[in-house]
Amino acid sequence: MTIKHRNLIWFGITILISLLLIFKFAWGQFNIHFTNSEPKTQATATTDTGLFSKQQFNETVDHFPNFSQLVRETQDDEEYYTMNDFAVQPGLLATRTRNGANGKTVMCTTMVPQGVTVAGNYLLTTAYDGVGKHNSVIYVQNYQTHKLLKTIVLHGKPHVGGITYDPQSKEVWVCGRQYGQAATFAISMKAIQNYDDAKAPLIHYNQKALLGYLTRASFITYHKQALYVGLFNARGRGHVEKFDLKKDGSIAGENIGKATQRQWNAYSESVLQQNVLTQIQGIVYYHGYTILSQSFGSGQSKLYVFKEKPSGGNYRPSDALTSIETPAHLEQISASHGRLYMNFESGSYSYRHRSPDNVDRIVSLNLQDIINQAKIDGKGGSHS
Amino acid sequence: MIDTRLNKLNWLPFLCCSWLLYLFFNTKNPINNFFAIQNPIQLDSGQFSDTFVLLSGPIIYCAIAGLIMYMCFKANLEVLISRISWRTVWLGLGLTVIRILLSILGIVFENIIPTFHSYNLDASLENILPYEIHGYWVQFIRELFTNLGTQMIILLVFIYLLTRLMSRKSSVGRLVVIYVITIIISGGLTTTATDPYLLRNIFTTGIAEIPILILYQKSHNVPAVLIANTICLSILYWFV
Repeated sequence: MTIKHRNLIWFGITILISLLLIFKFAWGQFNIHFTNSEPKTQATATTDTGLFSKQQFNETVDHFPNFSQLVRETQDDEEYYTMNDFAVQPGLLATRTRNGANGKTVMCTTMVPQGVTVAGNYLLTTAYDGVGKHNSVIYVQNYQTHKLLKTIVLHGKPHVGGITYDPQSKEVWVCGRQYGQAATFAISMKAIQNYDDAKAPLIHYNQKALLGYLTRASFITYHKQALYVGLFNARGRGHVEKFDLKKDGSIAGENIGKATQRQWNAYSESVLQQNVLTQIQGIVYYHGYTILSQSFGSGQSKLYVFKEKPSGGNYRPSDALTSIETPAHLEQISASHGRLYMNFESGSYSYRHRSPDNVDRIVSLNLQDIINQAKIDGKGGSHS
Repeated sequence: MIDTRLNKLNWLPFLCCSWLLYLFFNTKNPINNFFAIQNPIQLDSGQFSDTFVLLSGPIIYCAIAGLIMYMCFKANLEVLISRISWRTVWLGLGLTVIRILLSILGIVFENIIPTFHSYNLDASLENILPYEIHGYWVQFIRELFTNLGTQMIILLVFIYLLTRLMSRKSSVGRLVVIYVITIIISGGLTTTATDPYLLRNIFTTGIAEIPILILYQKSHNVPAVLIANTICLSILYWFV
């Protein structure tokens, strides 16, 4: 074979592999998302309108038969749950927050929803700016009517992967990160109720705590006078740690206020550590069961149901009583009033154009239906 | 002058391999995904496996680039490692300083030249807080090996152009063309997902390559060029 022929083969193979790499896998690097610069908006207040049609919602839900069955359970009046029964995730089109650099009040169009919890009469959801310019926020909605009441501006731009409510001390705990380790901060319900939405100040934190050896606080839940804070791990097993709360609601731990110029109230170490599955975004404890939400990127998301292990032990896939496939981009889950609340980030500007599933609502499921299904599947049936 | 023996070399396989190497580490293929930064990043508190994975990608990239270069010049290694005089050492030091100055100028320009896209910094190592020294080291080592690998590919292209265009007839005009093409290719090769602005890279990173190319042209010594490049990157990374 002459050099000319060999070169032709080299050239041909190079072109073929190049086309394969570019068109099959796309130029770029995993997990680095290109977005157009933040889209402009005419809105002057946080929006609370949905993005997707009823047909889009139904198609998304119907794509997951078991999930669909749980979503469309019969209500007391024999009506089926429909899209309008679920609260719209506010702020997907525009959110009023502050510029992280100069502190000015601005409209942000790239908020990514993360956490969800019910606190008294309020439905609270968290979001961070996907472009990384603006302060993270908490949206406050009326629990019954779903009306957006206010948008609370947080300090800085934490990922706010989780939010939970301590009904004893009436404080809301939110995940954060500081000094290279996990942190969590508490906001009193009084501060939320008195928050002046028009002035949009940075909300006052009642407590701030660094959490032991955790590197990140990815999700959080309140359960039996304790906070369970978890670490999301994209590759390996994640884990969840338990931090005791005192009777007055303060987190148990060493007071480090003086050492850190009173910026941090406590350094807390966990009293229980448990490994969980990979890519866990949220955790819920309900009547002796543990439910985990698993999701990463635009791949399939799942709910896993386990028997609760209150005194230790790991949550492995083989221990799951059942797993339920859900639309992609599932984030935090939380339990309240016998229902499981689920937040999805697929409605955010960063994901709405490329996510296979479109959910712009806080979808809720009947927890007892999930547990019943888990009981059936745990006895040998199969689900998902 | 460039060694005329290089004219006899069949360059295409080496240039093809270099291109595919760049493409392999800059597309979302499963193997590159494995080496990529996971979101959210976690490098401290005993996450050794993540750190290892994070560093192994650029090290492999650098090693393969070195291997391509070695295979290319196997028969004529003095083109890669010529003896250097003290005069060349001093010249190298001077050019290193100029490269640092040009890089600083590039950083200034980076902030002036407008960009039309943004990307989610959450997934990037640049998002590591400055006081997380472990993460900062990981970032430095990762960038160092990526940079050295890319530098070797750029040098290969530069030597190829010198061989093709200068071995028979040399002129200042031809040399300028070679430099311009290499600068453009250099800007292209440094265009990655975390630094996706081709035009900006040509004007910043590409122009800062000029002293390095001159150093090779004068020394014909690739290790010397890579050492100079390492010094530049270290100073820029830790002090600028």
